[in-house]
Amino acid sequence: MSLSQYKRLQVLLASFGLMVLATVLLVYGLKQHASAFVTPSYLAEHPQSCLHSRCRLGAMVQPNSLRIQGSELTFKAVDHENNTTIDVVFTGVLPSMFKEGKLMLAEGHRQNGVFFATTILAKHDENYKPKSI
Amino acid sequence: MQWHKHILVPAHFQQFAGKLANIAMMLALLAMLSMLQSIAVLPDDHQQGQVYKIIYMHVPLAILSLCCYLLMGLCSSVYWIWQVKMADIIAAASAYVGVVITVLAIITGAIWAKPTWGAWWVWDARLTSECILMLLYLSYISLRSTLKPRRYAQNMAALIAFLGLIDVPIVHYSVEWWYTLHQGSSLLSYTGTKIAWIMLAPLLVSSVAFASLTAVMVIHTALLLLPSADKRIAPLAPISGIYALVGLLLLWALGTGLLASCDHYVQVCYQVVLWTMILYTYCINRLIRSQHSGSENSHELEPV
Repeated sequence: MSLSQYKRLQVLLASFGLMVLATVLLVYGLKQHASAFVTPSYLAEHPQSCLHSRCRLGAMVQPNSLRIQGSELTFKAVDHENNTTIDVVFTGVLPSMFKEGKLMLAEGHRQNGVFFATTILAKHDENYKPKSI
Repeated sequence: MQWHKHILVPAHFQQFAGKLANIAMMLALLAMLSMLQSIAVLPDDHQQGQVYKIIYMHVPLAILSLCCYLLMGLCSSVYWIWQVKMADIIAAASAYVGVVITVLAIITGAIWAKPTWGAWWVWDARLTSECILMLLYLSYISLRSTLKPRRYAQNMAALIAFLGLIDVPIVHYSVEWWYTLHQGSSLLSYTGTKIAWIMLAPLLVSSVAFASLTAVMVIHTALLLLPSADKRIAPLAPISGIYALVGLLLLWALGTGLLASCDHYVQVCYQVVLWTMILYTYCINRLIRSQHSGSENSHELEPV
């Protein structure tokens, strides 16, 4: 390897090192903010969050909690790690994969301890198996 | 002659690449046909029903969008250090193909997301980092083709490509580092694969199929980008281009027939993927042909 090639290698490695450092800082700095949703236990620990700004809540739909009154739908969203729950109220069209016991994302804001959702998305897991098994 | 001269010397590469593209196309035909036949008869998934079959297009395309970037980044580093002309050409070819593959991965993902999640697009970490990958490809292409002088443009683009390699692990680990709507990794998860064997085998076959198709596209694009002085040897590329186009049209016709009873979302995905690849291969080979016929007009590809 000639001297100029060695210098070019040094430039490459030095700039890549800086890039890795920047990325590590970014990943740690964005730990909370780059997430697509917050959990019910986060809402319980941060009572001031989601009050005036819109946010996304991600949780499991608690089995046997789904109630439909007119066009209004209510259910309990439960954090499956520590069973913290929050009531969710929603009016609108649900995705077909929305079911009790499955994960969902609700977009909206919080008022008087109730989460008012304007959009609901269904989240599915990474397991694939045929229906019959 | 040593093997590496086939790749590193542009004139040798041209003779060798046409043959390689034809072999890859044969492999793609066989693998794709076997994948189409198996997804036509596969049972439905326990939670997603039939629409999960988009996995056989989306996952290989998403993996290949990262692989193309790895190839581009590694070739760029070789070009940056040793100034090997062919390394720059292969890096540029994989950038052009990579941006097409990335856009296809995003589109098939959107078509899959609508019936399952309920939205075409969500700004979660996985989707956003894949979007950044597309922008990295585009910035490489625009830097390499606009900066002057040409050597400077190639070097700066190579540096950007190498630095952008950091996005590849971010795309892969985004579903673990942050809460995302996108599900976790099914294939490379810590606790073993999360897909039943009957559904996994066609996925591996379709990965081979799409990898071969991508290789064909990269080779043809590299042939287009070769310095024009090296193009006076036998025009193997147009013949290989015709093979590739006939093969793709055959796959389109057979696939349309075999998937006729599948979910509409799956059919739309297949049409989008196949037509994009047909159009890309056609355009690249038209450009190669016009370079061959008018070799006096091809001076704009000469290094300035």
